[in-house]
Amino acid sequence: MKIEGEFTFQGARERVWELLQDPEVLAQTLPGTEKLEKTGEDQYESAMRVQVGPVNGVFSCKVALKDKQPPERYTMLVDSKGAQGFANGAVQVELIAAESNATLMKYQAELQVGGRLAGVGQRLLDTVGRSMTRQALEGLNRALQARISGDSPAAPAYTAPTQEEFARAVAKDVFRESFRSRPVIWIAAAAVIVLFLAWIILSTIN
Amino acid sequence: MGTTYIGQPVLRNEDERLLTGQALFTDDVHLPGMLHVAFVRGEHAHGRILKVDASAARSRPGVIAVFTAEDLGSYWQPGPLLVPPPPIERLTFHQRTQVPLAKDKLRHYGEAVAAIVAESRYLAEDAIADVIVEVDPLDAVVDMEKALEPGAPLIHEGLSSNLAAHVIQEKGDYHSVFPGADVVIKKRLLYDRGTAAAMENRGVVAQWDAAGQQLTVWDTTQAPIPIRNGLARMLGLSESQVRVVAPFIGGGFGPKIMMFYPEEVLIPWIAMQLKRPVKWIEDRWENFFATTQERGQIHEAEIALTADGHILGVKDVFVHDTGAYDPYGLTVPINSQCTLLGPYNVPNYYSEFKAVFTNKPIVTPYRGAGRQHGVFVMERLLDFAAKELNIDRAEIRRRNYLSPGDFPHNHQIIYQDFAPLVYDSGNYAPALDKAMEMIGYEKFITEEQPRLRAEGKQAGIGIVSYVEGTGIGPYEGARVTVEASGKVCLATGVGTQGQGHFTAFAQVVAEQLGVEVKDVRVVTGDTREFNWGTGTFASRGAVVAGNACHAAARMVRNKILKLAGEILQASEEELILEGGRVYLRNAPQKAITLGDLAARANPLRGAVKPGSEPGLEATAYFGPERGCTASGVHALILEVDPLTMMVEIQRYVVVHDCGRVINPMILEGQIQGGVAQGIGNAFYEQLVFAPNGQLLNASFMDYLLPTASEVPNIENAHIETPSPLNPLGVKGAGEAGAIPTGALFAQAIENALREYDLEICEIPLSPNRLFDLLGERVKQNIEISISHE
Repeated sequence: MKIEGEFTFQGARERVWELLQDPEVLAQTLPGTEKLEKTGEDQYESAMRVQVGPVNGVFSCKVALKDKQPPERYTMLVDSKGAQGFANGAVQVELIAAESNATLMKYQAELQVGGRLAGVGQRLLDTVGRSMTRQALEGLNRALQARISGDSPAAPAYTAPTQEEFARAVAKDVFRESFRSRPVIWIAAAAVIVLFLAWIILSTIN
Repeated sequence: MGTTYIGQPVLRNEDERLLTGQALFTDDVHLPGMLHVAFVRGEHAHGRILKVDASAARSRPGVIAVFTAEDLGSYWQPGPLLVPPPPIERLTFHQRTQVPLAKDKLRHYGEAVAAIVAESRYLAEDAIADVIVEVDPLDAVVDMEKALEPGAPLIHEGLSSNLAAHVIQEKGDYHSVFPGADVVIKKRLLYDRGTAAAMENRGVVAQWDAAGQQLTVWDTTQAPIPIRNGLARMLGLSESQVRVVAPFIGGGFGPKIMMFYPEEVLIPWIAMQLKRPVKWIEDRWENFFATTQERGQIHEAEIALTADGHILGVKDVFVHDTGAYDPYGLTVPINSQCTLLGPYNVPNYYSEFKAVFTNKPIVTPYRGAGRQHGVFVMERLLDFAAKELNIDRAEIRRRNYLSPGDFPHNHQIIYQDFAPLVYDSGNYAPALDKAMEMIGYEKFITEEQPRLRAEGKQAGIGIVSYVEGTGIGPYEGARVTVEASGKVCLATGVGTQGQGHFTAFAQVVAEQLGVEVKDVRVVTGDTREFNWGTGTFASRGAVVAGNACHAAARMVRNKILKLAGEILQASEEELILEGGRVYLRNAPQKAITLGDLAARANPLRGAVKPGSEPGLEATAYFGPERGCTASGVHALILEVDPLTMMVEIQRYVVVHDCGRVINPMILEGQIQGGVAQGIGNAFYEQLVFAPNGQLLNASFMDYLLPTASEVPNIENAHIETPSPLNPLGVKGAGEAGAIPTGALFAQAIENALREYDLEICEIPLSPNRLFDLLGERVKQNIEISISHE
């Protein structure tokens, strides 16, 4: 599975870099994270709950950072596994200073995904992967804003999204992507909802 | 000869039990103290196993034991080679059979690594995550052509390449055809993998009775007797200590004739180790890779013809994907090789194949068992030839049919039963005529198609022929007993997976013994009831077991008439056996019932004379010298939606010749079911593997089976050309429906989209694939027209 994209953080490159190295912030912002610890220099271990379609489980992840060139770039080596499968590979992250004190992040992940996660969840894997990435980055940006405004006294504290909020966001992304690519699915979904409502109405009448 | 029951659409004896939920399936076996097994399965298609650590799983509450390959000790052995390669000259075959639990290497996705035994399946499944399997992933071999390239990763280190087998069979001299050939057509044709998707997954329950020293195994196998024999050997028991029961089975389709699956070998062993009953039921996810599959082949084929469409010769070189192991030998590719010749007179034939190991689930026969590929290649070649020579598609087939005077016809190559491929009988043109008449072939082409096209409808028609080698040996047996109740008991060794054996076999016996079909109680698939046999496969149940039933019933009939003659003081010619009694032709009031005869044949006093046997019972065996060849024609009208590329079947006609028909209703059911699987194979189903060997659509959410809305009611007709190779004159019918469907779809879709001049050289198709093929073709057509300007 390949995921690549860009994201603009509203903050200086050094601040973004700092944020990305802080396990506490990461644990709060990466969706599904149940635990994240620093186990050594540039070594992290975490437990993440991931749901892809019908496949749902906790994955234990080891992340090692390498080729660090602060504050420009680094590579994350990811090795995660759980009862439902595995995902491992490398994520390359590049931070580019942009105008008006913003930072452009370019990321490129190449992951091998296997087990039930890939065998049963395949159809949703890309969409869910992209959705998780988007949410993680948006969460990080919010945390960044909280931290920056924390420099001033009346700072709003950052709160991580709940599991439910996260799941809802994934569902929304999946739906949006399906709708964009295949209107047929949208029509089919609408038909199913109509039939379901009709069935409920009929069964209450009877 | 007039018949009472044979040939009649007798309602099925087994349906009441099946439809009211009374039939026993393997998962219905519940035993006190029974334990449940879940398997830890490898997540890499190819990798070296560095470590398997089950200590955490062993200490989980509710887990009784965990077994890894190391724990099996000397019981860890690769499975037997089920079918050795046929005696073909210059044949290469490398035997690599599956192992009970992966030890050093993982060779396909989902290979079992450890068995967890727990108080419940839930607890066993929970413990899967506790088992640490460390794997060093290796590059996977997924593409069957790349498997043979130098430098391809080796799946079996002991071999110098991934070649599993290399076979050449020749008839005449293909190269001699060129001087006379007016046209030579070469094509590359592909067939990809699917799964049988039986409604019931596999399952095994085993119980070791330590006091009685008896092992009982309930197994969803198509071959209970060979499983009994093999388990006894592996476990160091006498065959009489092992009873294998194949109860009702929700569909076999071939993957359940694969024997000594890892789970099948392990569950009985675990039951003996733990001295408790043990159950494992495959779940649907496991079924997608732990059960065998079929159909990956790539053919480079060539046909040479005269200008008037007569075949001079065919050359076919293909690669066959055998998956990670090859326990079933060469049955599938040999079937492809032999079935390609079809109902046609092919004077010169060169066929060469290489079977290759890949990091994919094991390939063994699945309904059709390689015959699809052969039929697809031949029928496609004929279609392309018909277009090239401007001959009607039905006509080019007719011109090449073997004629009734050509039988027996020797194709001079070796078939899967090790005997020369000799067609016993056949009459092909009438089936073609009948199919054309039923579907209205001429009228559709001249009237309906132009009208539909004027309305903007992309409607097309297809018509294809095929043969199916069926009813191969070595033998089956049956025992018929008339009981004192006047009812009949029939036992045979073959297992049953929904074929209607409880009715068809009963009809054969009732015909001889003059009893009602429902009064024949049939027992199948229980080794305690019948000791000898091979199994249900290769469309052979009705032919081989059916004729054994017939022979045993004939013997009992003779005993009945002999005894009745003595009692009624009449010669056997004067006696009539019908309605459950024997009476005198000229004095019907002088009669004796079968029940009374059975009692008299098994007296409590007096003497059974030396040289005779008590009871009205006989056991007989039937083994044909070679298989018999069934045939048929399928015709189809379909419509392609030009926007969605979805296909809607308007009519589907099958004219089938499987010799004498025992029960046309059951036969039509077999054909309907076969066609349904064929339609799935042609347009909906495909197993998709990632380049690392990961199976990507291992659920019914993503693997699309056709449903009632995609499968039409088949219109059937039967031609009966009896087989001279068995007394009943029957031929097999189990696989026929599924065999020509891919070829038929390809032809009909091309016909529906004929303005695009599309050439379909692959199966399965899908709306997406069809859209892509059409896009490529449109692009090519534009390029051609530009270059012409």
